[in-house]
Amino acid sequence: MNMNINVLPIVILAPLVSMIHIFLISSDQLSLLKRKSLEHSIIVFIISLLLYTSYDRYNFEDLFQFSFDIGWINFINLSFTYGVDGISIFFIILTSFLIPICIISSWESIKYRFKEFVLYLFLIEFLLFNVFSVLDLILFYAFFESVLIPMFIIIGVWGSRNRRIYASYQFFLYTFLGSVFMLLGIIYIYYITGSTDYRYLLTVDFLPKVQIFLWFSFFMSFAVKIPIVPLHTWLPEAHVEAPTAGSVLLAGVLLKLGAYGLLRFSLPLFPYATHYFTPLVLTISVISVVYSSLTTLRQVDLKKVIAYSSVAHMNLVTIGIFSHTYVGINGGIALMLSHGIVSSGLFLCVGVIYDRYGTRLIKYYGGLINFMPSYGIIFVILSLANMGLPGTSSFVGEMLIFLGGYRINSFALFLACTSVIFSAAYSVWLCNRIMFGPINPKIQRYSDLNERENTYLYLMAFLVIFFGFYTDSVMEYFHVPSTFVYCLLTNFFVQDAITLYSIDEILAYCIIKPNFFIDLQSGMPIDFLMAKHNLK
Amino acid sequence: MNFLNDLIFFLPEIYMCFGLMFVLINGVYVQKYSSIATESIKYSSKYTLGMLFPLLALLFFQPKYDSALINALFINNQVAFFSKLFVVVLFLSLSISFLSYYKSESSNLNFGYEYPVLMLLALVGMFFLISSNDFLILFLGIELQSLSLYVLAASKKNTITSLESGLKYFVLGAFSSGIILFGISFLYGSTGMTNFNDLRYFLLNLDTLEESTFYICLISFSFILVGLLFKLPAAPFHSWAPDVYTGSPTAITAFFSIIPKIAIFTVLIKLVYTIFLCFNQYWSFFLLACSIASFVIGSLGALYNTNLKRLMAYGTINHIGFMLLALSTVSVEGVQASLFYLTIYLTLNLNFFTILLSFRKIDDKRVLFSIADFSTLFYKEPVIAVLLIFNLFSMAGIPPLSGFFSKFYVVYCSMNSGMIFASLFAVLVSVISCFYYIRMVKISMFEYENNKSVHANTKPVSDDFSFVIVVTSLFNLLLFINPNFLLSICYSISHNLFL
Repeated sequence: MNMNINVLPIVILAPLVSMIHIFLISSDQLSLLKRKSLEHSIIVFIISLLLYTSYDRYNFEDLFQFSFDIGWINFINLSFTYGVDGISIFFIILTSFLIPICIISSWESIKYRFKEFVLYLFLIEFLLFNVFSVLDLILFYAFFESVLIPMFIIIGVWGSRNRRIYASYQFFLYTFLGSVFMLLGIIYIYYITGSTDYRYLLTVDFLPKVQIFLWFSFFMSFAVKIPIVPLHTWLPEAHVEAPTAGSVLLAGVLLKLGAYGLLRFSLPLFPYATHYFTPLVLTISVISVVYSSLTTLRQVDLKKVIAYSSVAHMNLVTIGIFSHTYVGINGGIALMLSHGIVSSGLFLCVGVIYDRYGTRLIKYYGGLINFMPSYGIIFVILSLANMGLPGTSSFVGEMLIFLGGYRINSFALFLACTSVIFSAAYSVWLCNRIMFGPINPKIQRYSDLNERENTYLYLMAFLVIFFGFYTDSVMEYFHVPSTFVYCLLTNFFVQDAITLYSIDEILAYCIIKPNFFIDLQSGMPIDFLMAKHNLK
Repeated sequence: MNFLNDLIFFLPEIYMCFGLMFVLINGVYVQKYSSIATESIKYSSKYTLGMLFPLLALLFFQPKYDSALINALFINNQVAFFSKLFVVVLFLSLSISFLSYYKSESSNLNFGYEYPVLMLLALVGMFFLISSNDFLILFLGIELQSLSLYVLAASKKNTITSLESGLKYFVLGAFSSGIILFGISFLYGSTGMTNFNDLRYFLLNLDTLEESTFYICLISFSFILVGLLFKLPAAPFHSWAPDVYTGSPTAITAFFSIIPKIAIFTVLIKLVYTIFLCFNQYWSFFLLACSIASFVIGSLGALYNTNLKRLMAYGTINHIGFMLLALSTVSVEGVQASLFYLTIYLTLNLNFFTILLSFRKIDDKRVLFSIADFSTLFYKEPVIAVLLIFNLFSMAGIPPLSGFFSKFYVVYCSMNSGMIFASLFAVLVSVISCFYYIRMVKISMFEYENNKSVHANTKPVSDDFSFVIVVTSLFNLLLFINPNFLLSICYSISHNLFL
């Protein structure tokens, strides 16, 4: 699709336009407000799909497409630099996909101040679009942090219990404390290089000691967001106390900011430090995976089960990213996106029964399948997706992560693989407890999903299965950026090898031999041509 | 005549003196012949506001070239021009919001016509202080300003806290003025000079100085510096600030937490960066120590405070720490960053105090006192509550609000001059200070269940308040789009300082 107009500024500004329109509607006209906000969010989603259609997925010349530049602070050489690659467009689309779903799901559950709620949702959408498309470190930090303000307010104002205040505090302070280190790191980068333009910084080789300092300062901030285990306590609290839409956004997009940041900034900018810290990251991630999987088994709160399983999955993503293989990185991205749909779908399911019965404790439920068959189908599909059953979107990501992780450390991978068993255990057990068995006598209402809930839940379930079978529609777009990251990590130049060969050849080779670019013994890159001949 | 020629440069000051005489005489006249006792404050506040617009015009039409006036007692340059402009603009916005404040406060019979007059008198003092080029004028300016402020602090005659704060302010303020005077007299005794230019050239080559003269100059400089830091207030010379801020009437707290800071800060920058630049290895360390102390005291002191004004006083000390951190870098960028910080911080402060003044408690019609009084604000006044929380987030330094850029620029400057641990400390402290700012956000946004709102919601916030609140909030929210404008002004000021 050949378009002369740059779609990215339109996509970024679309939520702002919606915000202005909704701001002008009086909060007394509730039905108009709801309809307009839904229409606007769907329009924004459709606009953001333009990125998908007009992105050139095999363009190796410019990594960041739709790029544009607006001057900002001339004094210290900063400017609004935007551009998206094959990874970030999917996060933008995921965000814009989840916003209408958030709005439909809070159609009746948000009882007061609906207008402000929608405004904050659109504000988050706007800020997240910026986070995923900005190519300047300081602006990335600014937008990364500014998401805290609306999220803090959403948890605090529309949260369900009194503990929400504690949760929002924890969410805010953990993230803020983590990311001030990143601010220092960014300023230090600026101090060394005189620029914070990401594309310029890719050409800079930092000294090893500097890399270690900078990598660590960035990691402090991303580790809180992923979250890895000693820093994870904010996450279950925030998820449980937030309203359903807040949990959906937290699990769907905000959790991905950590791994996205690692992939976008830590790995390409500081390859030496990445190698240096890989054992540490793998150790922490494996501990996190096992710990949070085991913790999930013990939870009594429905939202906490999903929150802790999110911790486990996000740490699997970290293992994939730090496997230093093409497949592992691809798998990490795929699992992030799939988890964005699966976990938000599960949170929506929890929201549905919370709206009906006003509790999230597992012991009050039982035998829901008897009178909620439609709900049961969706819940089981999403639970199976959560444990990575073949045929669902999570399977692709998990399998690629395991393929890649085997190369870097088979023992760590063995431990991480236990998450498959654990996730099967907690998912099936959860289904068993709330769906099957005798009907809990405490249940007073017997009503299946209504039309509104059916619409978005079936959509989620459909997408989970769709992407399980037709992953190429997404994975093809990762090819260039993840190859790029991989090659930067291994000091291998992208243009040399990749432009000549098709993605199918490379993917096929990757799966057979994940370390295809580097000979492990000598540490030297193998000529790809040779590799190709060997394959035949 | 040289003298008469120089008077052209003093048109704003002369105009203000005549103006305040007029307001004073008018106030006396109205109070004597009016049947309503509170009529006089209404007139004098309106006249004060009215005379500020011609003052702005006079400032703009003042000759712009750099010149030393009246035997080099005064100096006229870009630094002086911008500081005066900033003083007048902020005082103008405060006066606008005071119109409604006086109206609602007039039933208490506390406020007479003297208050605008005293504020104008303090303003004259600040003008002299800003354009001073001689230690005598500097001292006279400080005294004129401080004397008016002492009276203002004690102005609520029927409350004991106001009297207490006035007394405390007077005793400690006089003490610090004494210290400054002591330093000046030492300097005069050893060198025989009080003029800034003379001293600057005298101290330019330290090698030729005798050792005793050098040390006496250093000691006298330390005295002057301590006195100025006392007035700012920077820790560890801050002890008067929380008490005085708490005790004074809220409008007066707003006045002297905002306006005098500009004048004192300008003078501080002028002294350390021009005359005493030769002592930079001493004062940079000293300012750094003060800034660290301010960080610690400002953030920890505010942590468990529930009194709004006391909390803001500690917050001010914390913010002063950032400005001093920027100054201690000994660089043009440092001055630029500190001026940038000052501008943004004072605007935020103005916004906060205007919002504070615009609400009244339901029971006793007094201004909000404790942070708990903000509860349920979001459910009663959603727009102002949202502007308030954006202000608080901005003070806490959350991007993309203006407070973030000021902090960012300061940290950037200190990183640039190699002070990595100081900048690390600064950002960690900003996390601690974030805690008490978001506690206020929590109270105004999240608490609706107890549902006993203490602030008045019977009538909407008046136009005067809304105007100031909206203008300052727009500054806060939209600075993100183009901070270049403000930065370039600060840059030209800081460059001008070294010429």
